[in-house]
Amino acid sequence: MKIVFQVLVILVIAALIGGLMYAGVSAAGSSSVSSFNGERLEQPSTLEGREFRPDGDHDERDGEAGFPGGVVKALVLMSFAGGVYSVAVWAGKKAKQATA
Amino acid sequence: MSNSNRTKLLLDIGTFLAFLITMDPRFSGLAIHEWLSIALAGTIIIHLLLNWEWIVNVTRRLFVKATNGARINYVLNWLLFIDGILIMLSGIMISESAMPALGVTLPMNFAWRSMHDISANLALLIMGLHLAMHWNWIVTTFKRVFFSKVKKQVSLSARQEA
Repeated sequence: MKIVFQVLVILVIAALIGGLMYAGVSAAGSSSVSSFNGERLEQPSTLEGREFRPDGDHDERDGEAGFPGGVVKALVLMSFAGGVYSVAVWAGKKAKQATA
Repeated sequence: MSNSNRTKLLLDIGTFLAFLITMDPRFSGLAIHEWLSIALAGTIIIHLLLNWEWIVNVTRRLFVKATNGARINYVLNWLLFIDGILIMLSGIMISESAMPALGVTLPMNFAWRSMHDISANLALLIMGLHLAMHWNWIVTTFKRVFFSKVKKQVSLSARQEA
């Protein structure tokens, strides 16, 4: 029962945040439905349907095993952020030691 | 070594690997990307449940007697949670595999696409910070889970030989 309550709390908070985001995007006026609305389901492989992914990543649907560049990018970005944090912590400790 | 820590670590490792796979839809394919992301939402809920006590404790003493580290960690976790919701929501809105398979048709909007990309990149940075903040726990628990048994076996065999 306790777990159900906890899950409900998480879901309600997520729904509130998601609802706010959805409302924000809709209110921003960018929710104008493009002319090809509804064609995605009927013709998913047509050029019009694919254009929804503007940066050309429509080739990903086949999942052809190649070089996992996205995974490498993810690891590099995470390492960068972790490195920055570690340097900040190290510098903070050094500064404390210097003042002590 | 408590079972709770072992469960947390194994779940976190699985979640992290799934997170990495979802970060490369070209590699995994769109269908796997979308379904795995939906499954990730479930594992994140379990991750939150397993750390519920910490969340409640820090929330209660956030403005009273929490350490600066705990406060930063708390804010960072909220940012990650909010960003995760943005990734999921924008992903659902631009879904081409999972949502149509469930019979859900959503209006197309290019704004969601760019939001999905930006929030995913932001998540990588926040996740890097999240991992860095918990690095000591990860290394300590990893050693206890995966190397304590090996150590015991080595010392046991050494005793038997002696």
